[in-house]
Amino acid sequence: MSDSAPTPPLSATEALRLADRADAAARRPGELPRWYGPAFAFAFSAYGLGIGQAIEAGQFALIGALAGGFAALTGGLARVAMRSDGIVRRGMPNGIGGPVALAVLAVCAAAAAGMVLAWQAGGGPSWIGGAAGLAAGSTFWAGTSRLNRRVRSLQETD
Amino acid sequence: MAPALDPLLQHATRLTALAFLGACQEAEFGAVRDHCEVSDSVLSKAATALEEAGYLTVKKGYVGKRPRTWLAATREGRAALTAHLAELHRLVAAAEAAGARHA
Repeated sequence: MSDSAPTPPLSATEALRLADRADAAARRPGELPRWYGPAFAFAFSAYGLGIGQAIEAGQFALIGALAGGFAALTGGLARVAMRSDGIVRRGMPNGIGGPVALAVLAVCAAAAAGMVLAWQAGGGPSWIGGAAGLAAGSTFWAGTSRLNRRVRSLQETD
Repeated sequence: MAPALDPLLQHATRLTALAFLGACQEAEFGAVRDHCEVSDSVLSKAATALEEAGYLTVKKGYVGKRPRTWLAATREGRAALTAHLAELHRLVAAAEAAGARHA
């Protein structure tokens, strides 16, 4: 596919085939980097623990700052991860929306379960926040591993 | 008058690169080069031609000390690609119809 050497003109069907192949390749989902799950797990745990500590200390103004810090950190991580394989995709690749929605629900459910368990065990706000963050983080990590397996299986079927 | 094929997109590397970039927000130079299966210089020439036509933008930056070049299709580039592909589809359909009449 030289750009300088004279090349025979493309037939219409060949051109359409090349364009379709390129389109499919750019839309194919890519795996999340290995550090993504652990980094988010750490961010969730630290955020939950921080919120719990702020509530226990009565420093409610800190909650907003922690939320801002969490959003900035996870947004930055997501931005770096999105660019990690060199292609910034448009929207959700086919076959990935369902598993992502399930992972989000699982993270919320795990955080709620962690909170309830810590509360029933008699833990204070810092324990409840920490348990929620740890449960959400580890579930997120497991979710990213599942998602990567799904992406690999989609890549193999292409 | 029927829309004509875009002469710039009648070249395999330029068509492939623009079709690839048209399907994503932006892509790193290396990812496009690997898909097109061409050398850096060939993709660089193709990207320059497309950039001069206003079909793509080239953004250079660094990740640590490593230089990185990101390519993205512009709105004009996406529109040109859509029109070019529509014309190709029309040609293929016309050829098939003519073939069916002679069969």
